[in-house]
Amino acid sequence: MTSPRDGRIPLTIVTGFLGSGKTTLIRSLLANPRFANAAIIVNEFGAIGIDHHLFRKTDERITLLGGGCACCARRDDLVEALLDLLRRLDREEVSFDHVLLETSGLADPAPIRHTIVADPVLSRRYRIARTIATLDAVAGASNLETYGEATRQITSADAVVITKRDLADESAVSALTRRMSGFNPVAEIILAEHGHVDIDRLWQAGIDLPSRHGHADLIDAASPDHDATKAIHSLALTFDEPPDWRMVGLWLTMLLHAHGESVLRVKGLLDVGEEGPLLLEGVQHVVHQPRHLDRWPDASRQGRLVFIMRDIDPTRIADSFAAFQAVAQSS
Amino acid sequence: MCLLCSQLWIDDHWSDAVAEGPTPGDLVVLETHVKRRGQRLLDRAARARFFSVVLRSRGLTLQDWEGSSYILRDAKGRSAVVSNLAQVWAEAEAMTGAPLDPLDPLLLDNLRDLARSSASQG
Repeated sequence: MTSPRDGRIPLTIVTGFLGSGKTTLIRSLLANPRFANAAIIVNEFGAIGIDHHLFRKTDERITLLGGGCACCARRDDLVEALLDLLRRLDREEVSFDHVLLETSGLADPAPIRHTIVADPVLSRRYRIARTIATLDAVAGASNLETYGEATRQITSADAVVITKRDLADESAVSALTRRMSGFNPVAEIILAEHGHVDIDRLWQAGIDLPSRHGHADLIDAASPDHDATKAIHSLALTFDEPPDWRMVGLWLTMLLHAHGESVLRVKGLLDVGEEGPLLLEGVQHVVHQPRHLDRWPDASRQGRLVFIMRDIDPTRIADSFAAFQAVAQSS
Repeated sequence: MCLLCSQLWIDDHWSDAVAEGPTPGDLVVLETHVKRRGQRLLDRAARARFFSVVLRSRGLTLQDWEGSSYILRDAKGRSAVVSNLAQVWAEAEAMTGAPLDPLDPLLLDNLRDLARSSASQG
């Protein structure tokens, strides 16, 4: 399951607020053949870990990072745990072809991604395949309104699994789903019922950009109605003509330098004249090495760039992108 | 170190990704490698040119140096070497003594004027 292109081991980050169903989701993932040979790293805020005992396959491929979050206090321990897995893999003491990293309920996934991408060894051996966030259908809306951690987990995600659907009424689930679409339009939203989740859709998360917002020139999907989230906006730019990729790089590095803390997420598929698009993905200051995809995820073959930002008017981003591109086209 | 062209490569920054994808199956073909390297250098030169146009009003220019770094210069003749585009902005701010913001309305007005003027000349 290592990447056919570069041989790196895919790593899936599973995040979500306290009690939102991360461990249940990981147990579902492990029951699927695609994740059956995964190593697991469990990060718990508490000093004494419990979650790692809940996996049936309690073997040498499970590592517990207890007593703090892997995004801050236990950052070095996360690096060491990932390195240790590699050492044991190279010595053939363990065998795995995927890593599932369960964050603590209070962790921010962005620094975790940065830790892995910035480490010279880890970035060569691991590839962050996707970030999956769990959101409780019952308590999720309240958590988003109350806790910034929950918001950051959702905006970082490639897929949001709304858990405990069977415990919430239909209208609440619909409202939460609509809210998520505005909140993080790049994420697949998947409903889980009685712990069951569509693994095939999760498998695709992180590769495809959902096309549901692909036909307007500019969509501003401001999240509705509450103080904690009203400052978060999303913006989708779509392109009939391919933008100049070199100017995109220049502009985006400048934007992230000036506003990296506020640009929570960037994700895009860009036509660069090849059969498939270039997949561009970033979380705050960290932009991953763009990937060339073999094919477009939908028939429209339309390039698109999606931004999730806090405290920035989306039209300012759109205007700036257009002004820079105008210079590229006229130079 | 690239064994085919004897260049000492530092990690590519994400913005250096070339438009043409890697050879399928990781098969390294010399012609393809040379072509991609040539495209990479052309792209870096284009980025440096774009930077110099965008920051002309601040008196800054950028030049690619052998595909491995960029040289940033200001109107007073000062220069600095930076590894990639992510680093150029902090150095440019240090030189100009002012923040550089792509959302700055004055900068954007200036860019629109530049684009209109280039288009009318072209």
